[in-house]
Amino acid sequence: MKNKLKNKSRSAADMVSLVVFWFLWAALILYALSMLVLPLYMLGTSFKADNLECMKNPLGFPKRLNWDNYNQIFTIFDEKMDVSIASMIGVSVLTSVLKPFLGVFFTTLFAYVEAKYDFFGKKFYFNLGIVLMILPIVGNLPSAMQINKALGVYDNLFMNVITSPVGCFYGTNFLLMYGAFKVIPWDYAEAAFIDGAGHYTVLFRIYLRMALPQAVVLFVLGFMGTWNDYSTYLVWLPSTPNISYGMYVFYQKANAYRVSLPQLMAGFTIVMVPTIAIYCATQKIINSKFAIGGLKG
Amino acid sequence: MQQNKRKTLKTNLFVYSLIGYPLLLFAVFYVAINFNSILLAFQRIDGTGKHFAAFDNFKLFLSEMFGRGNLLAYSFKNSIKLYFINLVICLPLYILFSYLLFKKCFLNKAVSFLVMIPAIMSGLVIALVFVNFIGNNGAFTYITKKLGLNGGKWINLLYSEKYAFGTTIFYMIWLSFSTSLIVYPTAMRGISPEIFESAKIDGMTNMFQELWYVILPLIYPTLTTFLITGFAAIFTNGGPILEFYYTQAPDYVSNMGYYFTKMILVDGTEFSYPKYAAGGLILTVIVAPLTILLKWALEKFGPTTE
Repeated sequence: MKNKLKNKSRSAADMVSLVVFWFLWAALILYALSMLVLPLYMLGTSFKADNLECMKNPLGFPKRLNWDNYNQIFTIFDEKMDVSIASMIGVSVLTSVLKPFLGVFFTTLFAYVEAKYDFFGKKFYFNLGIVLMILPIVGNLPSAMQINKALGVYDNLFMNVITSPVGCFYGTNFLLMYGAFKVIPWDYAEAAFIDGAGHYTVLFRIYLRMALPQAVVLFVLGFMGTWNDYSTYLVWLPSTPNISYGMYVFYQKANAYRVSLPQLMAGFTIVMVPTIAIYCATQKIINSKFAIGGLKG
Repeated sequence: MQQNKRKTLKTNLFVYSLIGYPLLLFAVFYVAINFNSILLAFQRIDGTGKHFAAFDNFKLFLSEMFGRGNLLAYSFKNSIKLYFINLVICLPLYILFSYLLFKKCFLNKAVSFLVMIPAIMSGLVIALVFVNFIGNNGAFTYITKKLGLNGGKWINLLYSEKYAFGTTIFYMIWLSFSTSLIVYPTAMRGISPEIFESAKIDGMTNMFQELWYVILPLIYPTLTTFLITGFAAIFTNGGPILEFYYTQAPDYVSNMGYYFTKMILVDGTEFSYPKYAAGGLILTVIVAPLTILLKWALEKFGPTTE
């Protein structure tokens, strides 16, 4: 009797669980579909003829595909803005490749030595990294501005790029690379040392290759982040805008430049093409390699 | 002995050849900047130069922060509200949705792709499209007019005191799932299938039991990482305010992350820097010990994997 009741209540709980599961699934599907609203709105608007069509029919498909908006936005951009669109794209490509490359490269090196070597300061840097991850520093922007100006880093693209890998021994990227190296056995290195290999050979020829998938994931994520970044240019590099910041400035002045909404949306679409293409090509590896553990010091 | 010393020296040279440059950058762009920030907090800068200001900047910042109806007071309160809304609404949803993806629910691959859209697309572009979407001639307004809401008039969701903060919160929650829906399912996939099988033998039959007794304890390190780093960022997270409003945000939507950026952009001179540096120091002093306390508490009272 008791067992029967227990089984009954268990099956009721299981039923509730099942209902909740499918309810959540429906919510998740709706949520996922809602992610399409803004991109589709942007894309649809970018093909409309003019502001009037947007006002009359903001939700529907364009009457016909006006590819001209994509041509015109380049012309208007180059006419009105101080910096050409080609130059902005150049800055975007350059920084989106170099900044993540330098950041991932030095983070990988730091993670490698932390995971595999005993050296002076090893524990200190590791524990400091953990502390820095959880120790919030608020409001140091004024001081950063003073120091960057004093060192000539402010509004200097080259200096900004080469000084970008600041936090290489803390943060999510470091933990990911540290975890990647930690699980690779040291036996490979010992065998290589016996064969006469040096530290650099072991690093570059064996371990870096083994941890390459994780590094590539971080690079791709870094590329997308840097391509989309506008605040760095707003605060630190106002004279050398990338395409994201350029589009932001352009947006602020759209009315004065008499830019139509479809043209503006065409500009936004152009900005997003590279990151979408890269993500589509690398989605599988990103989803499988991006795991974060705890913060034990 | 001599050979060991030489080996250690060689190893140290190799290691520091790799990490020397990032350490140098850290010394300048982290240590020096924060040290300078502390000095700045005690200074007064005017046309004649820099002077020692004792605690004047701190007093000024605190009086505004705990004042009524000014930008700083709103920013402080809104930052705290944002964190708790995120904790109460977003975190449970992150876990539940991640569980569905981990269980490979129907259409899980399509969902995984779609939820990444905000992370792939430029946050700035998405925000500007959203501003247009809810604008006077946008699609949302078109729908509300068709439905006869607000008497068929445009609801200014970004500037109305009644709706503006809610709109920014909605936007933040709506687009905040990307990273979590990658990280948590990946952490869940790291749990050995044998653990689930043995839990089933022990009588685990439904989703809640699976989440409570197996998954949450085993992904607890990942969970705590997000809780701790999220709390640490309570006064630095600016949200989409800068994208929505540039420097023209109404006071009632501001938060501390936005406040500091706005002030640097608005104030062309260095005269007001000391006040902001003092403010940063005050907020760091408030939130740093609390973050460490939170970490300790989560480790001490968290679930065990026994």
